[in-house]
Amino acid sequence: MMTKRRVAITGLGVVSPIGNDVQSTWNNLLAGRSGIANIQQFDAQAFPTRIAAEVKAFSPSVKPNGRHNRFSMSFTQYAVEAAHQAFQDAGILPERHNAERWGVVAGSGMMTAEFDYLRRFQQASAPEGVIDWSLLQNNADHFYSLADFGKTTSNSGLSLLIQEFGIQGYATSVHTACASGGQALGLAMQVIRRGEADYMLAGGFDSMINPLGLSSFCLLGALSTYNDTPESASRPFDKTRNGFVLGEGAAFLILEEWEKAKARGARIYAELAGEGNSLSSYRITDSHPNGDGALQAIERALKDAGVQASEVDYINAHGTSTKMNDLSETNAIKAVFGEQAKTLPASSTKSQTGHLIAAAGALEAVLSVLSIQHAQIPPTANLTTPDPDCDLDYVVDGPREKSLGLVLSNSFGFGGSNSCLLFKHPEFGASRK
Amino acid sequence: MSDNQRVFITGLSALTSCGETADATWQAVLDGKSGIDEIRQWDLSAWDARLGGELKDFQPAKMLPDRKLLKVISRQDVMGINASVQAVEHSGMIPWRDALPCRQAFDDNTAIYVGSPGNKYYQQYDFLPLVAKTDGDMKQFAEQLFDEVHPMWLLRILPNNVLAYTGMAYGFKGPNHNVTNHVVGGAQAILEAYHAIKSGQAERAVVVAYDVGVEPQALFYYDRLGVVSSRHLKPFDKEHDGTLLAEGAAALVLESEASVKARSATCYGEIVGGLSASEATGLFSLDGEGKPLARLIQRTLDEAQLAPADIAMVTAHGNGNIKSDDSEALAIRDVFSANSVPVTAFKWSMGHTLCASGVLDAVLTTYALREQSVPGIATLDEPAGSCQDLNVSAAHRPMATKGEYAMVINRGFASMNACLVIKACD
Repeated sequence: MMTKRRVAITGLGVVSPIGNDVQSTWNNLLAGRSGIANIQQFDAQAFPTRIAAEVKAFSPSVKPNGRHNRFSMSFTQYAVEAAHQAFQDAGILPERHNAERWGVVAGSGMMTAEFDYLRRFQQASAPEGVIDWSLLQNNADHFYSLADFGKTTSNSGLSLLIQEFGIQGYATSVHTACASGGQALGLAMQVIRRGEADYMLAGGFDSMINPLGLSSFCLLGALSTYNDTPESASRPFDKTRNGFVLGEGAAFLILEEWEKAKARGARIYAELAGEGNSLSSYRITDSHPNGDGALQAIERALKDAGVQASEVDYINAHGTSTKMNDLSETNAIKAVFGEQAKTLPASSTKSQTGHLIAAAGALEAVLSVLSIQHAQIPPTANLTTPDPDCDLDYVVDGPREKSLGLVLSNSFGFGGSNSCLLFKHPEFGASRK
Repeated sequence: MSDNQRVFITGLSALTSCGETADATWQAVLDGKSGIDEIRQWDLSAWDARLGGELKDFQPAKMLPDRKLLKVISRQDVMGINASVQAVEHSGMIPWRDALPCRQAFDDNTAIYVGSPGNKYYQQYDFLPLVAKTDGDMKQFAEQLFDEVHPMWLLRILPNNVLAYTGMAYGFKGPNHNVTNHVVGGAQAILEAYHAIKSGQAERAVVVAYDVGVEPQALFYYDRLGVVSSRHLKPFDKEHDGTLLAEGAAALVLESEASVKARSATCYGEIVGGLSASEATGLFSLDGEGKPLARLIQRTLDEAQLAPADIAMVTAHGNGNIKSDDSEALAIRDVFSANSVPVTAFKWSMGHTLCASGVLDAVLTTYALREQSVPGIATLDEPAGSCQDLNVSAAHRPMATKGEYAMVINRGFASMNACLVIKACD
């Protein structure tokens, strides 16, 4: 069997509900600060859920140089900012001679229309709520703006990243709901492995904190309704959990072919050593309660990285705080790790960050890498009433110091796509085996 | 498992304005027929640009494996799921699987790769009555939400519904991706499935792509952007003046050599390589000289260890848009030299199905290789001056000697290009 090209992680960037850069996000996470509060971006007072984990006081550290900014949703700025941070952190940028060896994979959100845009469309073409297509033409000069078309095009965020950094190689955008960010990183790893690129920008960005996004999840009854206690509304694996909390933001990582990163003396945070990608094929919103589907993804990640289950030191769980996910994930972990499962730390950072949907897997990849770097496991906040069916070591009493060689990050999405990523300490094997 | 598996095509399907099957669509191309007509789903009589390629016999309840799905999916999903089912049935893999003593390994090693259009404007329209009624009052909007909008609305519009329901229809649990990259998503889905099988991550894959290019709000924007024609789709012709949008879906089943041998499957073709890349020229822009596309074509040939002379046919993107056609013609000339490789295109027949077009063109190219025929571009009268170096014809032409390899070119927004090489089966 051919030796796989190894993939080094050399740069991190984050815009999250608990911090607009990597350092503040990590500090706030370990300090137990919650990013969840009353929704500020619009008047959500009459919705069953009025809370979310919003990005706060956002101001880009670098002014984007692209002239195409107007063609993308406002939250795409989180992606551009997180990517700038990651490039700066890695100390490398695409250059003329290697731009073709640079690629990008973005886990992108659903691109549902902004409310104001839908309202303008309604006013122009459906005054009574029913569309008359001749009206759209009559009001065309007033209604039309190319920026609106850009914003509602599925790859406009990807295009902005391509433009901003001059990436001329592989480029794609993926969406498998809450698994998007994880799958984006897995795909980027594969592109480097197969030699199609040497360097990748990969991550995810999303915000569904808008009237339509909030409506859609309220209609489904998927969100926590602990409106009076926002900081403890996201309570993964707790018996009283009653839904997830919407978050927003972006996280991007710089991936490099290992030898190239070594040769330029890059600081390597960790190795992206394996991915497990599977489909549950059970129900659109749930995994099988016994963990089927998710467990194949964990097993594949282990096999892909060539490691044993017993070598995993920590799991950054998907842990959404919904009844079904947390049960199914717990059972998947038990199915794969057996007896070891009960002593294997598995925490959900969504307890503080909320659920960043298409960006969740990317943010949690960054947090997994940081946990390796700092030898610290972030806690599961708000788990105070144990659920007898969720009986793993969820790291409930604050952060835990532990030297970490191998960290698994889980992401499972609506539609049944599962993505598990395995991160390895850069000296794993050298000092540990 | 080897890291270098060959990847065969063992199932094909298409659902287009020309017909409800791949056979019917191919036959329309051979007959020089087009499925493009005035759009009928909506009243666009007041519009100048109102031509498009609609499905002629859209009966969603009959097109799904389970009609109950209709309540939880969108129009585009019906097409994608139907194309998946057609291709899976064509491959004959299910009766073989069902005769296995245990099907778990088969299901776990069957992947699904999807080119998805992402979200479409029409999916938002369920909210219009509520928006009109509440006139921007967010309190009223929230209070009346539950009376006005279907509780399953979000599930109906998931961009990965075709992936999810294809999986659920058959119980496939392998690797998967749902590529939302405007037009090239379908072509990229093929390439990712190819790599997954080649590297042993999966034994076989369903690749499906679908889109609804005809929806009026999108058509409105494409028209304003100046990329659609109000009269015809004539790729590389001196009268080319824009594309015509269409709806449809197409799917392929890909299998490793081991999987093909195990069940003695019929092979229709083989994927031997491909690449995609951005020109980095912008969301709505492209390089007018075709240099980045030429570079990608050359890299694709190098990667597949082929010379330009090995390619018996190029299926061009050929969308009828002047700038796209011209730059594509230049790129093909730069790599293959003037008037050499026979070039065809298919969008003139069923319209530009956007994200579905890469998979659809791969399906039709597989047919062409099997029949050793380069189909003519029926709407071609006289090549544009800018495309005069392109070896195109309105008539069908036999492939020279043994035509082994064909290249498919696919192009989309974000200045994305994708190239794919298909080999005829022995």
